[in-house]
Amino acid sequence: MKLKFIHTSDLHLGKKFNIKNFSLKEREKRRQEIWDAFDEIIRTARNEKTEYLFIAGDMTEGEYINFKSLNKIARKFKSIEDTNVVIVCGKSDPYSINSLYEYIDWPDNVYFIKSIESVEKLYFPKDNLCIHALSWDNLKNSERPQLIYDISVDENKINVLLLNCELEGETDFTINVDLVKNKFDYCALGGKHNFHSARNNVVYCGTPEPLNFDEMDEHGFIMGTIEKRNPEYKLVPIAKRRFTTRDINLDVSYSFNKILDLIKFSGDTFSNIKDYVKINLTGTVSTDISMEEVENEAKQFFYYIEFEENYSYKNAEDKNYDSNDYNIIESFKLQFENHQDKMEQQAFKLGLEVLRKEKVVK
Amino acid sequence: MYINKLHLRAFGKFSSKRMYFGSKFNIIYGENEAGKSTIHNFIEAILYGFGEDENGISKYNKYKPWDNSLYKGTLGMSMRNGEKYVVSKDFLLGTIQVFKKESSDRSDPEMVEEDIPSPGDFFFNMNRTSFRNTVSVRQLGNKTEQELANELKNKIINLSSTRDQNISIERIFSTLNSIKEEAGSEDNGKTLLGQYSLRLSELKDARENSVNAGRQVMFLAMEKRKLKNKISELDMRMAELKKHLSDHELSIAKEKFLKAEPVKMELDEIDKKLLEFNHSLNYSKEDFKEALSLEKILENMVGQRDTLVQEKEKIDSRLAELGRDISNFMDNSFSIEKLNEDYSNYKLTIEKITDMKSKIHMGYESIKSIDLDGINKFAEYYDSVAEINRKIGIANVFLDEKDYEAMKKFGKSQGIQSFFAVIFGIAFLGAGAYSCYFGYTTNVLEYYYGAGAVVPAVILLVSSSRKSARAKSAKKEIESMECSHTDYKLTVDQLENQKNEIVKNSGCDSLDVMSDLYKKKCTEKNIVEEKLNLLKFDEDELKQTEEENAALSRTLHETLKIFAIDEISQENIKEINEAYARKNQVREEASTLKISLEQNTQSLAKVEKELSFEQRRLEMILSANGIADLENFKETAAKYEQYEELVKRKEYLDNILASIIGKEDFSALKEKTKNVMFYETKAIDEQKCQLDIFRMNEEKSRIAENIDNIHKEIEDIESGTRNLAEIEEEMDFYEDKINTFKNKIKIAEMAAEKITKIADSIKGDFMPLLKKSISDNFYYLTGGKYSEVSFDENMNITVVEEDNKSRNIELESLSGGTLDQIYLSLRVGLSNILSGNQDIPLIFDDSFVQYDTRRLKKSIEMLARESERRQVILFTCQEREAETAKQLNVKFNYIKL
Repeated sequence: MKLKFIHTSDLHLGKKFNIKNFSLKEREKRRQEIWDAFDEIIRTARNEKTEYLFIAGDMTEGEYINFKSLNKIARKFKSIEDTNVVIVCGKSDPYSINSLYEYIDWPDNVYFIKSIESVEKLYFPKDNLCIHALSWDNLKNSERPQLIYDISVDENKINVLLLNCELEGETDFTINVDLVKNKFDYCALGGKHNFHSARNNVVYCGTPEPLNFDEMDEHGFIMGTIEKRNPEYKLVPIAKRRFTTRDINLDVSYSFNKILDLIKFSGDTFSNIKDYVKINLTGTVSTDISMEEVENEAKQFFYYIEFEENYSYKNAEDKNYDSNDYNIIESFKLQFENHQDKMEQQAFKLGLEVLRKEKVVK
Repeated sequence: MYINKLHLRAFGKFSSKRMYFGSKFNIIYGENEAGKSTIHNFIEAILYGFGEDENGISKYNKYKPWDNSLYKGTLGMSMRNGEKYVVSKDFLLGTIQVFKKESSDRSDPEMVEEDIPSPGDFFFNMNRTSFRNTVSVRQLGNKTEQELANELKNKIINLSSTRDQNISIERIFSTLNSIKEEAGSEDNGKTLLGQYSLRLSELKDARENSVNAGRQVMFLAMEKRKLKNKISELDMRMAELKKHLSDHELSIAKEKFLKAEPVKMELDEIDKKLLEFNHSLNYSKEDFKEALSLEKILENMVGQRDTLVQEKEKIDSRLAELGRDISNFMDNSFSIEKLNEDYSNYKLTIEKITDMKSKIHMGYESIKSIDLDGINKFAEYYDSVAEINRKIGIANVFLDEKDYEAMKKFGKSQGIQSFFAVIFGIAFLGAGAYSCYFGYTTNVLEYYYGAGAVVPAVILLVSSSRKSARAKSAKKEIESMECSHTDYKLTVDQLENQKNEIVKNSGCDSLDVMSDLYKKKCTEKNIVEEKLNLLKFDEDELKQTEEENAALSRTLHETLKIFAIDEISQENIKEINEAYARKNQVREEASTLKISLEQNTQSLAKVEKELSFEQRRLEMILSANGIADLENFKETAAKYEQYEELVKRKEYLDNILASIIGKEDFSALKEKTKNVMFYETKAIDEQKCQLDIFRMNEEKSRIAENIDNIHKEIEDIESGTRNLAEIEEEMDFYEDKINTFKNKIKIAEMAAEKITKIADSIKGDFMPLLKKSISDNFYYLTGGKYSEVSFDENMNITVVEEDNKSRNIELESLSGGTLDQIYLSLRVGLSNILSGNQDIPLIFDDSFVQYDTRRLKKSIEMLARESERRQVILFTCQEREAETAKQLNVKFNYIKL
């Protein structure tokens, strides 16, 4: 019997955004868009008559979520009473006695995994499904991976591992994928914000809505069916916006308009008016060009654009006058030569602008 | 060094234009638009390439020859050491070639190409800007001495701190300071930074509040948890109590069950029986009652109907009787008086007829003895005799001779006339023929007139023919008359014989006797005929009376026919009169009877309808109960009584069962107690238990209320507190702003620091150099009148006279010419510093156009003096420079464009 399931994680409901260039309004809007994504997941679970909804950690931002919002989540879950919702806690919403999760009246179809020191087995006899799950707390525990390796599974059942963990690096919760891949029919993992299939049955669903420029590509949730040794699933993209980073290498010979055009036509227009775009500017820019103006101008063509200024300024007439240090401007340029420090660069740019303006005006 | 030649191969308006300069003073004269600026720009373009004009537009296109495919030229440069350079530039290709000739020996043609990409830098050791600021001197404005002094002062100050006469260090610092001022400081609430800082501090407070609110919510949530635990505890305790109660209830229930079981069994038995009944007694008791009552009603109704039918029959027969009464046939047109009158007349006519008949009979009896036939026969004979007499008379008429004679005469006369006519005719004819013959033979025309005798001849011949015919017919007539005469005679004889025979047959001897008898008989006949006429009159009257009687009889019959009476009799008339007398009475009775009949009919119809309805109702009741007829129904009802008894018993038992188990269902009770094997109905304080449960429930409600309050409180707290994420985001936002502005300040400070450092360095290194260079050149240019140009710490600039070194003269106090000398000293000094004390040329482009003669003279003197040290090229559009130079005996190379 194939069981329909949805696998999601890392929603970070109530998240505080640290993206420097996001306006306050945009941050609020983005927060709402995450809630919309959550609603979409609930709607899909209801419409598709999904039997299980796995939430592999970081459903909320523990520090910022409030009681009212959690009650709202509980109400949403109650609206899909035919779906069993299994939730584990992740790094952003670690479980503890001080977690508000503890004090919410979750509906009967919600199985909140509060176990942090041993793996909890949740068996659904009707579907012969056994879910092995463990939640994060906010304490260090290097023994956690071993708890996962020590899980003994009943081969006659469909076994699912629900976990917020890492597969690489050396954290308290890095597990070796090879040690779990054969034990479980499906490993519903959370903790990585991009969709990633480590193995056919070991899957990170990623965030339904990307949260920063490290989280590019498609985002959504996983929907599929599970039976013994045969999980079938696909990523259902629901993200309203994507984060995209585009590299533009500049040359000192580029004019204002050329740089602007390079930015404007760096991606497709539809993406420009919808997505969050970061332009990584590298190379050299003539000191004659006001990049501030270029960036301001470019904003007209994008829903959101920010720049990473990895370029350096260079004098268009880049001539070396050797000992001819007659003019203060030349002396000023010499003062900043070989300074890659961003502040120094900006100081150089400002000084140059002021000096030049002085020369031109007077 | 000096520029020795220019070759404008193709540049601007010039094509293959060559110019040679002297190493000292060169005056190039050309009127406006003669190409002075073109040559000046050619020099700059060769040395530094094309710069931009005042509008920032490259001069490349400005000097591109429009009528030449080339765009190139060369510049020759001679060094004091004898080296010569030729700089060749192709402006189209952007290529530059510099050839060097080491020896000054003209015979040595060997030129070496040097790799010199920027000849200006190479020769003058300065960039374009410096070139423009020192070597190349454009038009000098006709400024007042005060203005010139100020300009000079600014230039020197600027140069002293920035090495650029146009860049003011003060203004730069002012600009950078304005950036800092715009940002302000965190301490100053009126500045941006101050405001941001203030907002940040507010946000920090809000964050603190939000965090505290979070803690409060957590505390409340924990409280709620505790309360929920209490509820769970209460639930457990209540469950325990309920278990006790439940066990107790079960024991009681078991007891009840055991008591109730036999009753239930009997009830089941009854139910079975009832079920059997139910199969056959599938009828309604109410229906049965209804049917019985209907039966009675129907009986009554049938009796009622029969009475009404009888009544109706009576009325019908009476009505028929009345309908048959002859008075009914009397319509409005009927008149009894007329009937009676007709009948009386009828009777009178009958009497009259009888009378007349007897009278006629008596009349006929009186003439019965007269033989009218004999008389008539005699009369006939007499008439025949008379007739024969008449015929004899006629025949006698025909036998008259007169006509016969006349006819004979006529025949004879006609024969004679015809004969003479023929004779005369022939004579006339012969006369005519002879005349014609004579005429013919004589050929005299007049003889032919004799032919006219033919006409009377013809007339006479025709008349002769006619008369001949008449004579013939008269002859025939006479013959016929002779025959008739014979016949008539015969007839008269026969008639006479007949007459005599008749007279004889009549018994008379003669005609006279016969005539007398005839007269006698005629008188007798007349009497009889008179009597007959009277009788006929009577008969006519009788006939009329009979007709009258018949008419009356018809009228009476017609009237009587209305009453279906055939006979006209006194009785019948009497009867009609009687009927007439009772006519109204009969009608009134009939009308009354009809009303009664109508009422009766209506009642009957109503009764019939009701009867039919009730019958149908009964049928329906019966069919609804599946019973064929009422008898069956009665049988069923009898069974039903038994059934009712059972039902009563059942009700009784049900009551008993209810009194044992109450409203509880027996099966449920049985099910509930089936596992209760042992029970003891030990008394527990049920009331106390219930009270405890009630109290616990109350407690639970109170706790639930508290939980609700906690929820509300949490809601209030959260709705009254800003979202922590929002606060922190706003804090980040303002922190970023503050940092940005701080960075801006820092950047401005860094820039200012660097610029200060450079300015200080310039002041330290360059200013003394500049001062000395200006002083030296000024001393030279003024012919030793002024020993130096002095700057103090506050950048006050003065000049010192050679003769009076203790006196510092302010620039404002100097004459224009002296200021020009200082200005030139400044430029030359700068060029010396920049070029490393090379004697680089000075180029003046219409620099003194606005000068008056005195000042020009001074300037030319100054340039002449300077040209002793370096090449001076003066472009001018006026001839007065050359003239002044001539007046001053200054040697110069003069080129006229």
